[in-house]
Amino acid sequence: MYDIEMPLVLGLDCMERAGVLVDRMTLADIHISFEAELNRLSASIYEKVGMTFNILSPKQIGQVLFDKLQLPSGRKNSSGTYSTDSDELTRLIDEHPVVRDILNYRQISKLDSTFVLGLQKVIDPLDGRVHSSFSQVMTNTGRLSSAEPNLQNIPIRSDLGSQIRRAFIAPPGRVLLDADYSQIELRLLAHLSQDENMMNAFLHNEDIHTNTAANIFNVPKEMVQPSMRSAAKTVNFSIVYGISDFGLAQDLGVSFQEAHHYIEHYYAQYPKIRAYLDSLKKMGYDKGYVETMFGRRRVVKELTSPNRNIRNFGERAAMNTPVQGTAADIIKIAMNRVSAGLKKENLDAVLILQVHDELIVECREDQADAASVVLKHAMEGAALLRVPLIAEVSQGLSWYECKT
Amino acid sequence: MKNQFPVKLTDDSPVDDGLQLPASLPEIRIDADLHDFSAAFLAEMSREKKHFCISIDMPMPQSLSSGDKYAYLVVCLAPDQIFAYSTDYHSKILEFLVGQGVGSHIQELLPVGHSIKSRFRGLPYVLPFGSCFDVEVAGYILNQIEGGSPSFEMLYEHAVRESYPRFAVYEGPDNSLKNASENPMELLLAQTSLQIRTMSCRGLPGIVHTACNYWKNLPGGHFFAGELLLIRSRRLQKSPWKNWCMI
Repeated sequence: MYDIEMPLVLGLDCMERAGVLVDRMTLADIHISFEAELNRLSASIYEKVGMTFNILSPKQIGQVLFDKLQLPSGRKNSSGTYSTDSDELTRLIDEHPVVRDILNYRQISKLDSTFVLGLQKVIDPLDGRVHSSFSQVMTNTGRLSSAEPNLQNIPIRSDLGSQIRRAFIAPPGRVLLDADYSQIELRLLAHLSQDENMMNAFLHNEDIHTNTAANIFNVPKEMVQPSMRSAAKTVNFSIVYGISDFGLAQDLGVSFQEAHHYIEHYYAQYPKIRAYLDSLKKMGYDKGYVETMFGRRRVVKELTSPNRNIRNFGERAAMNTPVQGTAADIIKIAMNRVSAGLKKENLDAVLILQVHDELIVECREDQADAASVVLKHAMEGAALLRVPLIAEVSQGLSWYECKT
Repeated sequence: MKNQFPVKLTDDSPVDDGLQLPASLPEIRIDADLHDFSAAFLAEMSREKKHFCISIDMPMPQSLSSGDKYAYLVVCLAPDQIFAYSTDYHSKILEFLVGQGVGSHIQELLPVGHSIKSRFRGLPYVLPFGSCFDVEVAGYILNQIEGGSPSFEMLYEHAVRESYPRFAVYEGPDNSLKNASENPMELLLAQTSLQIRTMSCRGLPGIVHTACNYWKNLPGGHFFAGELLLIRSRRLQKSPWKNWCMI
């Protein structure tokens, strides 16, 4: 652990000072397009409800949806007002067309204020770059955190969110290299649990989500539909987070019984995973802490709480931390190896960003191939597992281009 | 006169040597000739001693205005050998220390500090050391301090089992000590503040900060010693360091 964290102090110093070049013009263009979309959506919303109101006011949204439109109201906040959080609005999405517009309005408004306008404010006027601050000491799992600005929560799932990555660019004559660990947490789950079925899937380069889908839906692999694979993907990732039948039912929009069935089939397919996760809970209760593969400890004091909900949270933390924390350890090892490797090869390349399982290097265009080799080698060799550790490297002139 | 300051580890086993605090603030030599500094450094290096703490401190960048010269680099070679250098000297001092093996991969001299990356953000270049030991990061690794980021104050209270000393102040025409305390560290800090007001460097911007860092240097070395013992006992480190300096 010492040999992971201490070299990283100075490595992070280099990374912060390097920063990421941000294209103001691209941000301005995105802002204009977001504003146009917000105007269009607000007009549509006002027309649909027959009045104008502050779309960003939860209280006013509650009044419009539940008092004026008489939609079925759900939870109320402690202040007695209607809850209009995204879960609540998602529940109402089929009740009235305005709900989808409001959700979209909120999303774009958040993207615009937090990322588009927010990023413009923190661009260093001297070099046009954003110098985020990375902390090694803020999370319980060992993950790095990023602040001022937080570059680790730039949305990627939505198309609009991923547009923001267009603004992160390489200077002329240079390119960005983006390297992502492939399914690192599932690979670690296979390694740590030593479940033969899951290890074999990775060893034979099979699609783990299709495998899981075939099992939980009881169909041959070749009959697995995209929707089945998508559900199986949710199951695969949720198990690592110790999800309950109830939680999975909510995530997948299926019945409690159906979710229960999926989980039971999952554990039947990968029997050692249940044993492994149970052993983590036991360790948490017995010792008061759990550990990552590299000895990072997380004290799980929630397990001593008389409150069942808090204990349940502690159990989920006990099950998840060794997997997520080991992934954090591995990427930190990789960062140290990348820095050392680039230096050793005398490449004009520098690590500029870490986003959990992803590293981004900026390098001279003519050295991109050599730097890619260093990056891939450093990441894939960061730990020796019972299954292959795979890093996929891509390059582009912007972060967005790397991801497409 | 010396004050003995017992330091304990988390398992309540006492550290073999207590925290030695001088009774008063020694002279701080500001922007002293570099030859004098290097001579003092080499003289301290040649002595047989457990602690070779060099305190290097800088104010956080947000507390400085553009072109500010008051980011003093405080270098405490020994409790009575304190140098403070303004911005123009920083690179020369750091180069000298690196040249002497501080933070090199020879692993003879390890720069130790709290929140090193943040404290040196004001430097216009990467901190030139090849390696370092951050007591904040070590506290986090050891998971001794609840709540994530172990502040200097938390590490102090954890290691010393006493509340962190506040800067007590002398007030009134007779310079009487307000809120007199039995805490030796607190008294020393109070004396420091009084001395600063009467020293030749009185009024020099940043000097209180500098003096405070000097005092922090002493327990900082003890955090390191305690943390290193735990890191070794948990086998979290491959290779031990022979010596260290405190930044």
